[in-house]
Amino acid sequence: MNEPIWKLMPLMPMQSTQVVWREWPDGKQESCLVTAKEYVKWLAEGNTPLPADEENT
Amino acid sequence: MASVVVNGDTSGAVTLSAPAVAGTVTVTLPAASGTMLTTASSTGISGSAISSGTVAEAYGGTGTSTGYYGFKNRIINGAMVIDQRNAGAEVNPAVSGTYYLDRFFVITSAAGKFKIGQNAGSVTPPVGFNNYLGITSLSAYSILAGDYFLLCQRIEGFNFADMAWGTANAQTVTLSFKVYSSLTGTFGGSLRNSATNYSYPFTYSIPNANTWTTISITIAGPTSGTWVGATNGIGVEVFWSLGVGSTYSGTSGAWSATNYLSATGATSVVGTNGATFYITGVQLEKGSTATSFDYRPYGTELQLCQRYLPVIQGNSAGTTYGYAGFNFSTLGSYFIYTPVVQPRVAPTGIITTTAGGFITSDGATNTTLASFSFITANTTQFLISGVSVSAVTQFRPCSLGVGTASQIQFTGCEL
Repeated sequence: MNEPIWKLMPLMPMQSTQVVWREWPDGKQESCLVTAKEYVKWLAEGNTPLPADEENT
Repeated sequence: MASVVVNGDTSGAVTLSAPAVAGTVTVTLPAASGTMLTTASSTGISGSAISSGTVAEAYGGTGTSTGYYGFKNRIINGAMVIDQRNAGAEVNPAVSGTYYLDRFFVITSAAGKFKIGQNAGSVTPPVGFNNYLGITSLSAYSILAGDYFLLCQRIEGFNFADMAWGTANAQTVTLSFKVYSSLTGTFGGSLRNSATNYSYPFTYSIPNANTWTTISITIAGPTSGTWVGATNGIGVEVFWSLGVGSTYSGTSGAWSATNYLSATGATSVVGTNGATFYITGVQLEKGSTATSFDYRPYGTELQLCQRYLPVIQGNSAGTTYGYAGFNFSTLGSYFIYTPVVQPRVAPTGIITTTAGGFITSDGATNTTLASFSFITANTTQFLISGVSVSAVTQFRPCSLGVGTASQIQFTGCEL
């Protein structure tokens, strides 16, 4: 299963650190802080996240 | 003669009586001076204490020279009962750096070389166990010098600091487990510090294929090396090799200031297509004797696991409501979760499965949630958001409904 690309999420109320989000083909969803180990490792592999939507959800 | 009476110097006497049965009975007195233990009293057994040796578990003792019995196992989920992530499903292939059965994870230098799952292969577990962790090789991979394929458990420093490793008081430990493989021969593994620069390669033998074999390995505690002590960091890592190259393989049975992950010459499981490696009954305890497995109550073991993986779990009775929140806008809701067990560290993310779906309910309307996102957390409160499929009323209080078999895992708490 190919690893889906992380997407930046808009900063939400009560949040001080931005979150990224992604969905796998089997419907599993993941989100984590941009400081989380798994995301930092993914970035270090040369990957780039998708930009956040402009509309604030 | 029925009896002999020995009179005391001042008063009293001891009577030695022969048994009222035929035959000769011999009582041998100890070779050293002392007092014989015979009488219990309100303050305990009077007389001498046992000053050396151990009393076997079968006779009510601890079977150890360390004097403790319960919670002796530093491995969590050693009976492979808890599988919060996959609920017993086999994962093909296993992914490096990923946890499968609770507390057990794999590290690999190449992808796709084996699959993993609880009771994979459906063999009969060893007596006393209902579960095992099963690994099956997916190819005949030739190990390169820098390769490593490992099953691992990291033990938290708080649960290992009494071993005093790295000091003159370092304690001996014994690692025991039951293993079953389609292969025979000498297998390997290692113990390693969190700085990855001090390790103890070990070997064990599986003499008969497809047969559960009990393994016991006693390891004298290291008086050197850097160990984290009583912290929430990695106290020690325990590795079982599924194939390790020469770069990370060392001489077995000795501590080394080197990052060894296995012993030189150990069997490679990933080197044989279809080869199996099943393991259960894993125990790491203080002392030089492998005692009986430390069976802990299911609820206790689950809570031990949830320190590293908090989970909101739906059940088979249908949608369960109860996680308070409010609608942050017309688009969805915030929910607050107070974990049953305080995690090792604050989570940094979530993984959701949508088997039975999720609902936000404000008391008047139930609305399906399409997606979840982690918001923030400390070790006592977690905040997540759910985006609904249709509009909800902003600022209205609500609760989260978790459908059958749906799950929210809070990630980032593992070692």
